[in-house]
Amino acid sequence: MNDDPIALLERELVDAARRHVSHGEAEAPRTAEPARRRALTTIGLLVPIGVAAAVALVALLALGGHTRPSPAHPSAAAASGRAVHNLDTILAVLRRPQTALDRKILSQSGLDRSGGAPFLGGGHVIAASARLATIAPWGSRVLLVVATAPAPGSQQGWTYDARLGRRLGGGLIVWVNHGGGCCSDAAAIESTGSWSSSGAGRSFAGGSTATRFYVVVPDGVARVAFVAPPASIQAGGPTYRHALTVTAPVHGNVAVAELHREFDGGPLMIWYAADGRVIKRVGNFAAAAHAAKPPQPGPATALSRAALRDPATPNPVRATPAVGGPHTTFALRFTQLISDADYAFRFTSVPHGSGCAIGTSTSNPDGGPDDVRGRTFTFRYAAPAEGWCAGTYTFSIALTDRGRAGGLGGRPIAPFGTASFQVRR
Amino acid sequence: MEGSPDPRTDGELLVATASDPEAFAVFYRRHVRGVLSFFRRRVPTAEAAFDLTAETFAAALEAAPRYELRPDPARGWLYGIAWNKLHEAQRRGQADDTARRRLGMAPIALTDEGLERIESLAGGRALRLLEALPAEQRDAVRARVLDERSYDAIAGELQCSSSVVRKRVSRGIQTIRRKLTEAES
Repeated sequence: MNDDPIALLERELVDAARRHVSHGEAEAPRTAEPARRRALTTIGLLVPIGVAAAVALVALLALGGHTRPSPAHPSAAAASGRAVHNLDTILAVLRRPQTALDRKILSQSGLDRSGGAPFLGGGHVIAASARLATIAPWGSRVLLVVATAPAPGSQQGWTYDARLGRRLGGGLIVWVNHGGGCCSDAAAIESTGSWSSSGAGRSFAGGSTATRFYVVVPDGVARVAFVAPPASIQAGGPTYRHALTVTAPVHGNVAVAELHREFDGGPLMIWYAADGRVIKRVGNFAAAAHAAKPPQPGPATALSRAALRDPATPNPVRATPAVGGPHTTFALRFTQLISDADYAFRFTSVPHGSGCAIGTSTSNPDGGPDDVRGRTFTFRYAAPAEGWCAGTYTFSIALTDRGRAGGLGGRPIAPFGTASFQVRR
Repeated sequence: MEGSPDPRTDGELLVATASDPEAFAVFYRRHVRGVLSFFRRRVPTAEAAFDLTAETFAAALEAAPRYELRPDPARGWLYGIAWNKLHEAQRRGQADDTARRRLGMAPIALTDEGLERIESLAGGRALRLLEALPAEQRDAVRARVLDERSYDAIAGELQCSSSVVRKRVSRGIQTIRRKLTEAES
């Protein structure tokens, strides 16, 4: 018996998701159109594809003299052909002769071995299509290889591209060192490119905050500008107030770039021809700018100017609710006087007694996306695991950094406000 | 992600869930530890943390068909659900199971081994050991490790030098590590 509740929960969720999927199949025509609209408003992708029948990829004929398998079902073969045809006609890197290095990199990837690409759900890679597209400045090797469609009825393969609103069969794998994904067809690559990312992450242990992008683009694209709009990464993530653009040349139909940002999706892209002409803008620049537009600070006041001079300038702080129970989350609020400031919250007085120990250095170093002058800063104190003890909690708030107005040199600053809340059990 | 077989973003996984159940499994595996830790730090027992985690992911699965890709990260969306579930539970005095019931999910009985696994994954034991540290070390470790703050910022707040903060963090982590090792052996 498996006692791992984490695995059991995963199984329950996947079973529930399967029930949802089987229930939702009949609604596919209704959901396909919104999905397609999403495709127009989102940025590049590694297109998950697949098809319900195992079929040949007729378009692979041109790839290194690969033998053409017989389609199992004519209509399925046609669907698959539509999905992957012309990959070689839009990607020059697939038209060049295969080299020993291409085969070596494929072998090192393990994709050509049995079970080497389980995410294909029974599909397999076409070894003769493997090409080492480029090597990134940081040493990562980008391998492109075409894959056939998954086996009939496979639950594993990526069988549907929700954003394109259709099922696909076979396509291009973008494999970077030891990882990658499948599959993009020609239409997807021409529409948005096919991108993969790696290396994102922030870590208190000193991990990198850079994100590396690998994007496959069709012939004719000579440079790619990767644009990261202003954004707020939620749940403790960073806030980026300014756009960042990194332009990279295309080698072997692949452009790679490293952006010192954390992403949830991907960057916006501008594809340039060799003569500098803009071929395409990928992603909804207007929506991104609107969605991520940093809030504007309110007008400077006598109080805000005083706070810049003296961070301990009194500023009213309130706690809500003023009275709560052992598991109440209390919100601490005050009007911000300085944009981009950081604050330290400290309990200065807490109830005493058994089990009432509570840390005194709780703090929030970042005001978040709305931390501009004139906005209300809200910090929530969730109850400790054992619940609040009964009594009065008093806390103080001090400025620790003035943001764009400059730091405080690490020197301790007197609090600008205090407040308290009461807990009744 | 490099080294991972699935490079899709969280948002893409949620969108794909409408047709690919495995996509949600990937999303779940990426975040279950974080969500579990999130709840474990805020509720008194591992059972409650697991209950809330299950309900959060069930609610996320229910809402996935309505999820649309957006500039905001899907992680924030997930933790928004988690906060709501936490607040609901605090109001009601128990974790809700509405989403799980609607999805027809079977209840999961927790064994002692299962609870151990949850504590291990959520870092509950380490958190308890953290609370048992001397106050100076506890504050320094919490500020550095949980709040992810710079040594300089912590030093400013604690009114000491950053090298002192480093020593406190180092000693605190060593103590926690040693006690965890002793407990395991």
